Amino acid sequence: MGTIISTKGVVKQFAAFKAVAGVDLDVEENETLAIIGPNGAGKTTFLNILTGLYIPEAGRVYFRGKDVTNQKPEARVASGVLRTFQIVQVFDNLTVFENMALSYYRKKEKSSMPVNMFFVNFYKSIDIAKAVDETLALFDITSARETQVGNLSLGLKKKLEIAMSWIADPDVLILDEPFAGIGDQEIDEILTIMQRIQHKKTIILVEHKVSKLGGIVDKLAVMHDGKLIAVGPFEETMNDPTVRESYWKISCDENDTAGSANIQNILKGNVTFDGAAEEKSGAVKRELLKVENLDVGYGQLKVVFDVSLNVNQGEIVMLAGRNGAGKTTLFRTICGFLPKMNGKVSFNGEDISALEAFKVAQKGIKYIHQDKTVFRSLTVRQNFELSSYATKDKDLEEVLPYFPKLRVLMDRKAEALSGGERQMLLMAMALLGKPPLVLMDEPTEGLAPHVIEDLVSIFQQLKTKTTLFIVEQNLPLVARVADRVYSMKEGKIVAETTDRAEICNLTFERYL
Amino acid sequence: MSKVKNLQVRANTIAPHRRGLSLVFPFLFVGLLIIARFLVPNKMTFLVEVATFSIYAMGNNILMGYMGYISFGQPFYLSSGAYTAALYLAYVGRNPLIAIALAIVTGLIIGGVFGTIFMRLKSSYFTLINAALCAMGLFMFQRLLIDVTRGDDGLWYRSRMLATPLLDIRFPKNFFFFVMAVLLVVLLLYRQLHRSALGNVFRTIQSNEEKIQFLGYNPFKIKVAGFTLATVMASFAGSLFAINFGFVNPNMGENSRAIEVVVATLLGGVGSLYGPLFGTLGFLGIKDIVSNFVSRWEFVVGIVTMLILFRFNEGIWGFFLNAGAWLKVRIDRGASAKKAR
Repeated sequence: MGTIISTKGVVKQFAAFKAVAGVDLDVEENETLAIIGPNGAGKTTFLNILTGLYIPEAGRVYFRGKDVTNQKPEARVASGVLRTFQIVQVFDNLTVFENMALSYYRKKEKSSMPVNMFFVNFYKSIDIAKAVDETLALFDITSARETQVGNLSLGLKKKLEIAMSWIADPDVLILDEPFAGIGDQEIDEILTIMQRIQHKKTIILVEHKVSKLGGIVDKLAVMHDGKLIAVGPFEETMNDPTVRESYWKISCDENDTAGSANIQNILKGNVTFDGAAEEKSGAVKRELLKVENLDVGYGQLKVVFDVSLNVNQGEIVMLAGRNGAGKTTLFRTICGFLPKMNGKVSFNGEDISALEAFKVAQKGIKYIHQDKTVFRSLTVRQNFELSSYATKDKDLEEVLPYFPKLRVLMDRKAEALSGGERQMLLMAMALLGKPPLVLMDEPTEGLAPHVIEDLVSIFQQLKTKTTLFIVEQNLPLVARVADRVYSMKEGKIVAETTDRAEICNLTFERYL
Repeated sequence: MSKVKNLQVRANTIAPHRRGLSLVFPFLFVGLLIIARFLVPNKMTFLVEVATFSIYAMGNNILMGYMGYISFGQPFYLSSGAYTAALYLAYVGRNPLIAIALAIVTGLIIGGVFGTIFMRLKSSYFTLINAALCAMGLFMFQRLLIDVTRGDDGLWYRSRMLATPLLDIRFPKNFFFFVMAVLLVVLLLYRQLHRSALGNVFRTIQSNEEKIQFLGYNPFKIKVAGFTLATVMASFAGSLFAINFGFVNPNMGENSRAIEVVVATLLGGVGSLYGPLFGTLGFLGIKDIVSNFVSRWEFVVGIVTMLILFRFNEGIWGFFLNAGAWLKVRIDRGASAKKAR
């Protein structure tokens, strides 16, 4: 055992903003290290420095004692450092098999000369097929072998991306938020695989779902504002006062026991019901969105079957369900991006199921994508201006009180925003036109616990302003804010409830 | 369990580039061209042109269909190959095979040099700088080298003076078979490329250039390789044109002709294996037939291209594959219905 990868005082700056401000970190061979920290702490930037996507302004990176600071990504891959990305990066126009084969081939053959590559037949090589099939079986994606990756759900793409790194037999495996955006069951599957390879490979991962990490992580590193504030064994670091202060936003001086109890809760994934949605007066709420017997599909393939649901004014409606259940497809159909096969979608009593996407948006349905797309090269202010132009409403002040953090960031380029800040920007942009209904696709995906806390309080404040219809896999969160919950499974609505007590006791089996 | 079933349903959506890879097709297509030559004897020159042009289009398909880079400079690479062969045959030697070899070397050098420069650009600028190079090349052949190329008058020479081993290509009918044999070899190699590691790496350039670095490939090297391959195929095709006609003039390298190969690639089906061949057949076929009736045959090509872009974006070859799949489903259904009875 020795140090396999280490950094000495690395710094990375974007204009005036120091994303990583001097990090010293040593990673031992064959240990599993998790890096946690609030959004915008510089975790992904740090990974980008480790893997060679960014060259730091100051400091050095060492791999097995050798200075690799200026080495290009492909050279680091050749020496055994492989990674996955926060926003999944696979080749959509190739099949699963080809994606895997590309990764395997490069690792096996030391030469990537185009001439040599010309003579390797991907589809006939027994060697490649064997290696790929073994790995696909290990990751339980064999049935998708010949599917074009663009047709897969996000969860499967995530698994595929990890499998692609795994098949190249890495010395160091770097995972950027492997659990973001996928369901509990898939997280458990990935965890099982990680347990199998634990202590055989060095694993570095960035993750927010700390409750899942307990069993597999040897060492925990906590980043805050571009600095490493604590490194050490898991439990010890979790209870470190500075960590609590910055990450959990739990002050230690007032009541220590409450603080640790809270941490225990977060670790277990339990969050107590805080009576968010008190029963309103008995008045009948107005129906805002009504979906009746909707069928949707891609070509021959049907994905959503006979779905009916209601969203009433002023409600927070959550749609739960696993990846591939058809949730995003349903949203995209409501918004007019996908044509329906059968059924009806009505909004304010008016049939909108035949309208084009921009007309649906003009009716006042805003849709926030899962992939957190903003205009990257524009500043936050310019992003706002673009969206307020389209809705003919420049009243930023209406919206900004809900998102105090964005005020500070107005002149930063959107590409330098963290995931949480981006989500807030998107929500604020959507709210600019005072839309009667906002659809959000997995708003909390890949966000730190305290940012999720912020979002929850924003959701609750927004209830008076608009109606929210949210796809969410985080059940404790659903329990806290939802007025009505639908659950989808294999394209069908399998459960529906408006009963508070039942929402609070949502069970895994029933709702996911 | 049902999750697995769901996936199997999706598995039926086969990636377009994985269809129709059978080894039968290259032999079938070349065989059909040879049969056509005997059915319609006066169309032999047309068929030679189809074979030659489809090699040119296949090269363009690597750039356009695999990597997603559109070049408006392909005529320059075509005419460089043609002029290399022509200059050799007019002033130096007589062996057409050496002329072809020299054209290929020219293609390699031009592709390597300009590839390392152009491939640093984003795809839209890549398109434009190739157009600029094409204009410069035209100027070179027309004015700068007028003493050897004879400018707009064109260069005449005897291209098929030597008997070659195995097949005496001095006779036009034998040259036809020579070109068919060349086409067959190129199709087989192209099929190998389509299924090889290299072909798949080319395809990744289109979808995610960043990720490919993290699998350990150097994207720049791959792009230069793809560009060079396209250039070599263009100049190879150019040398075949030069030998076929015994005449070259700068017209071949004109900017306005850049669109021809792009349209032919589109027509056949972008990124597909046999698309370029069918695109060429379609493009030259329309040109051949329509120009008998209307002088502006480009008008019809334009309408067909629009149809392809908006309605049949898998092109002619994709249409054949879809029709084949549809037929197969019908036949299978019929067979199972019979069995049930």
